[in-house]
Amino acid sequence: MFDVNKFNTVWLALTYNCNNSCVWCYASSNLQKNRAKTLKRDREKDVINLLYSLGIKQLLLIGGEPTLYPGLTEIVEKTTSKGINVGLVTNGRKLRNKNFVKDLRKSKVGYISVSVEGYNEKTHDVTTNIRGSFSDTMTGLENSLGEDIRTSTNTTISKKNINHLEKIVDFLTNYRLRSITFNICGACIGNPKNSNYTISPSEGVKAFEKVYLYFKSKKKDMKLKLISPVPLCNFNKEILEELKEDKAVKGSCHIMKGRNFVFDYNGDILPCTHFTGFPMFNVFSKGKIMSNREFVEEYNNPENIGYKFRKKLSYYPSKKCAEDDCEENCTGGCPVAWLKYNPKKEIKGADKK
Amino acid sequence: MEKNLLEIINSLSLSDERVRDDLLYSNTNINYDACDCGCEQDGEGYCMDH
Repeated sequence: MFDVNKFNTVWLALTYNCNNSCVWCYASSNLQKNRAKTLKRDREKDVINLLYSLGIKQLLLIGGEPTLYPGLTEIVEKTTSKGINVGLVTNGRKLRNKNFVKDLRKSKVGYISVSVEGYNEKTHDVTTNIRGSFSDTMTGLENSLGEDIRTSTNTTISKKNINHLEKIVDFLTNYRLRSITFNICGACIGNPKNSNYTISPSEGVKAFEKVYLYFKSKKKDMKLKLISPVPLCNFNKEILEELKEDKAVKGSCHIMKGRNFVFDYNGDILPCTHFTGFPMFNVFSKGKIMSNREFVEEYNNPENIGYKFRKKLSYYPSKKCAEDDCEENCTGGCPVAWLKYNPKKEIKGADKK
Repeated sequence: MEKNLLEIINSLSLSDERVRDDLLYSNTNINYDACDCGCEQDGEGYCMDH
């Protein structure tokens, strides 16, 4: 019933090295443990061949900081030459080197998402914990745009920046971006310290609603999106209609459908980035990688912990979500939120059920 | 000992109401959700072309 044999997007965590030290990072405990944990160069070919044979449509390179991976442009080239779209999710600091960005363009990277956490040095660097990171990031962003690479930004809404999202939008709309995206700093399994910075699903909806209305008033030729799945019934109905029209929000978690997964540096297969260090299974055995047939069998093996995990996840956070008059069908947003937050308090009307 | 995936999910607050099959298995039912049409998508599965 939960069988999947067609895959769409894969996030490949190339390395846990990072040149920033973001206060809320979901992988921070892993970063400390795994400073040198990086995909082995001699495994690149096997990994890309497996993903290609699984029929994936796009590969997102993540970390840590993927630009610190020694063979970045080569792995992008190997992947794009097979017809797979490649995106790079980066803090942008290494993109300050123009030649590096030129090489990325030549490797046919599909797009670059640059993480911007504030609207100036003070407000950005307080999150990244690295003085000077804002300047590097913005130079990197300009270089990416200068090479005509599709470029967007992503900002994590956290306690650090929730009160100046409009200023961030004001600042970012000066650039020729494809889109400005926001995600919500949610509960985190790998970094309990991030609790100080998390935003609940209802707070996130409220903050995004406000910044979306502000953005719309500026009428810029770009998109603004919230990429974290949230309980959609928390939005004002009229605003939600506009958001749907703009494809600016999403409700359900991709794990539910099982067609996207994270490929970790060591061959661990994770349900999503929130689960760094909690694999469903590993694709390597005695140094040899699984075939696509073995992968699909293991992914759909009812005895596999990942299969059991997906099966258990397929429950609504609240009985209210299951009612016939629920118009949104969003399945309640990111389930990881329910590690820390109470659905009865976070989903409109759920307290009465 | 570290938790495993199942222990994590057992600590989530979820109801006993199972998500409808058509939401789990259909790619078109949530039409404002991440596009699954095969076109170019961004980092979170949003369609970049539509």
